[in-house]
Amino acid sequence: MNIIKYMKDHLLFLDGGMGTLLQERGMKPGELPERRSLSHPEDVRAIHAAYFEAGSNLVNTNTFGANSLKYSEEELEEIIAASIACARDAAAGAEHRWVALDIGPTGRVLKPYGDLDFEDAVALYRRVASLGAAHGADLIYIETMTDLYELKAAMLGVKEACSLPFFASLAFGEDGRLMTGADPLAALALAEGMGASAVGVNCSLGPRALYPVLNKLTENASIPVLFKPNAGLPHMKDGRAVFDLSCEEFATEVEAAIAMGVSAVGGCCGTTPDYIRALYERLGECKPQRKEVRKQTVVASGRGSVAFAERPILIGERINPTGKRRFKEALLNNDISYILAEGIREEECGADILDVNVGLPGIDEPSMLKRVTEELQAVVDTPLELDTSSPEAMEAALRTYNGKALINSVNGKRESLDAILPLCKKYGGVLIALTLDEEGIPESAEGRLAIAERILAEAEKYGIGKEDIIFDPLALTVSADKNAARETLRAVRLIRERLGCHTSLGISNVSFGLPARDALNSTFFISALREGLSAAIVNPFSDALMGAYHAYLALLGMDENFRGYIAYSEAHQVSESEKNAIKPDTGATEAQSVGKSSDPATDRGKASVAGGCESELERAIVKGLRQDAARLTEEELKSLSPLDVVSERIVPALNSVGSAYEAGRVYLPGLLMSAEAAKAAFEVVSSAMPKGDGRGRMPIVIATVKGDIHDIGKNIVKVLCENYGFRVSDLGKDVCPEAILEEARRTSAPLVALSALMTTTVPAMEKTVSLIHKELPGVRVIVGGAVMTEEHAKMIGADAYSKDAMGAVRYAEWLEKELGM
Amino acid sequence: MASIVYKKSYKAPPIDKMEALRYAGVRGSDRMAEAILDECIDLSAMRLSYKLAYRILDKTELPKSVTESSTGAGFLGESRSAILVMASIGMELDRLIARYERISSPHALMLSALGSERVEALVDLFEEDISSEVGELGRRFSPGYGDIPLSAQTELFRLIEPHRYIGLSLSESLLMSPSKSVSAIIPIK
Repeated sequence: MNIIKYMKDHLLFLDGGMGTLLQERGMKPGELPERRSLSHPEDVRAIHAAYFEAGSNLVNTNTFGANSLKYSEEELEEIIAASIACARDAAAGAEHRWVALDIGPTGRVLKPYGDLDFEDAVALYRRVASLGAAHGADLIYIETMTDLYELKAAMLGVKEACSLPFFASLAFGEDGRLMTGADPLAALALAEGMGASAVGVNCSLGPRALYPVLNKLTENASIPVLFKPNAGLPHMKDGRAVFDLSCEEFATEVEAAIAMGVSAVGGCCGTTPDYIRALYERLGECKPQRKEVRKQTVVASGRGSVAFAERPILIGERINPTGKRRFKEALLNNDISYILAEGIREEECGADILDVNVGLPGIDEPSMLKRVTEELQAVVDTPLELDTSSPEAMEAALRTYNGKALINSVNGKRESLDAILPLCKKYGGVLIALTLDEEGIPESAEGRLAIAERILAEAEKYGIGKEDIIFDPLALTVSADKNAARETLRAVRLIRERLGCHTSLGISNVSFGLPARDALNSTFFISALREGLSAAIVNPFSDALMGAYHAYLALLGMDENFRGYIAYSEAHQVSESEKNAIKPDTGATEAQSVGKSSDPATDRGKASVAGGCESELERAIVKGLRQDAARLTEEELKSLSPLDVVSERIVPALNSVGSAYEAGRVYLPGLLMSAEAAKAAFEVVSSAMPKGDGRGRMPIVIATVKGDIHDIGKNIVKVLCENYGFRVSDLGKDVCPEAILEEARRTSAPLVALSALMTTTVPAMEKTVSLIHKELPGVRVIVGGAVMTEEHAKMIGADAYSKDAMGAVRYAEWLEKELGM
Repeated sequence: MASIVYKKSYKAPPIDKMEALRYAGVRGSDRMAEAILDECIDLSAMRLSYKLAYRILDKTELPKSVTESSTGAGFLGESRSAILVMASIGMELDRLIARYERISSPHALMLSALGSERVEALVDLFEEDISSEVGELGRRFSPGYGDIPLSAQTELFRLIEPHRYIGLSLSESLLMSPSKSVSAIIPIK
């Protein structure tokens, strides 16, 4: 019988711990347990047999850590084959016994916070799963995952290797979250979206402590929930490890989980065949009591989830080059920081989800969308809406995306359905489906409904349910057709009522070509909400729109204790007072972007530097007042040319702070505050400059070398160099020598700056230096970082060394003069 | 001896602001830096966890690269056993630092400094706590000190497998992730 079918009517009994049982049979601490399947197969077989005899229906093979990071290709196959054979032998001769290939985490952290590349992880899991399928496993049990991104890599690897069913089980902490901060609903959205046959909780704690997490899963899961807790917590007794729950206590605590709706029970650390026997004796007659769950529309990031339910969801529209000169420039110059800062601001303004569109002629859209997706996910918590008309770019971004994304978009055209629906099936996701087809956009609401119905039917062929489709009945420009908005509003209601589906609209389209667009947009938005709109793509920086939204929620009883409204009103007041703050520089405080204000005037070191300044702008930069610096720059531009503002105001200010820093009168945070203020001033200057007239100083390529993932020092050097007007191309961290060479060649930079933090990455630095000297004679390399010294730098052949960021700036200035640039 | 790995969580230990400022390169009074630090304390408060995994080992169970180094031998002295501890304040701070690197580098710097202070404070707290169980402790030390090779980390990580308990792992170039983590040996006198 098929195990998935069996689970419909039977409570499934899983197995218990393996490691401690192997230790009892002589395995030493630090020894790799999987090798026991080769060296002591009789022990492994006996443990499986004991579990089956105790009542287990499904045992996991002794392959938790079996992967290519720990074993050679040859040994890996031997271990997987032998491990499955052990379990198979033990299962023989009785009904309702299955063997799962056990897959644990790699023990390494994925990029960007660790060094394991996502695609390498997928390949690793793909290999393990294909060996498991080849050697006869019935299914694949992915367990003890602590990072959703790694879980995604594992599920993707399994799906690409074989068609076996797979389970996804996670290890949650006491706080009900994964190590990476993800909550159970985000995990569930990912597992369901990727097509797991069951989702589970295992390890970390005893049964009782896991009830809250379990409840969240059983109340929301449309797939069975598995439960494999520890036998409580361990302690030492008479020189032996003992877990604090007895078999009976354990069985009692697990029993309570049946009523919560759990479909399979077993144990993890500290549990033995005796524990499983106790479970079976008590629960052997139980049937699973799964809860009736209404399928929900949920998207997720690697950290949290957003459900489309009563409260309308806001999707930020700012990450999009359409009509934004500064954004286009950022895309063309690889200036990811600008794009990320926009995203962070949208999140701070209350966007639930961020739309991401980087389509621009001259851009390699697949690689740019992938990169922006990865970088955004490293700094914002919200899920993303991937917005592209290129299926290739969509796949690149969906694949790398951590969580369950919104896919913007599919439409009724055959070509679009054939390209996008398979992607949704493979990677999971919620589709934004536009109600248009080969004939264009139907004028009437009924016409749009008909397309929606066709899309639903097509999606069903792929097994994509209507909960994973949100229709966008398209907001058209009202200036082109006075009835356009009314028909779209009707379509929202029709789709909601007839199909029971969620809807979303790009609000701002409605007002193209008309003045005072905010008024039209916010009124249209509220009207659509009244028709049942579930989500909207909006500008979260628009005060009118956000005000209307928060008022709407408050008036319709969707804002508990007016919390959202009050928070909005407070933020609104702050932004108003900032707008009105035309204050002379009296050393008054300035609200920083992060809330509270600081009082720099009391800082003696800086006060004395500021005292020597000739202008208000210089003083603002010296004191690190970001907003004042931007405002004063605008004033200076009325009488000075942009370049004069740079050379006579900004650079002298930075120089004086820099000298004070070198003299120990100003410390590093102060230096950085000034750099940030100067950056704000530069933003104003560069937007005032005629196009093409850049800041004009020498280009510099900067990177943290291969193997090194910590880059705070490198970022400080970058910020400072930028503020001195150098055109810095930042390659980020963990960059291979060839990529650095390539960028130096592309930009014709006469200077490459390298950072390394660890002694182990010094060889990578040395390799980079020699490659650049060999391929690009004349290009200088300056090095720095925690492990570097003057002496080290000489040893590896670098042209210069700097102990800090100011030193790097001074060297760059010297070099520029030397080269006569 | 069948020693096992224990896992512990603590509430936030008191913050030594001077120490955090020192990590940020502040060597005197600097009101602005202090204000940034206060902001960073608020920003990170809900996002830090104080977890560790440890194991008591005989000296003979420690890697030879530690016990046979002169630095390791010096720290261990007459001790016959030691606590191997791996502590971390979690991945969330790494996310916060990455976020502020994009919008405010002084805050990124200060969050990083605060993280260094926090994880050391966590291990201090653990030492205080555990010494009541196991007796007087020697000074803690880590791979990379003196002549103890950094590669000893790999062997220490194998002894605890901290990924399973606190989500701490080691990269190929021997960096710990989350970055604000400590791996240390504490001799038991």
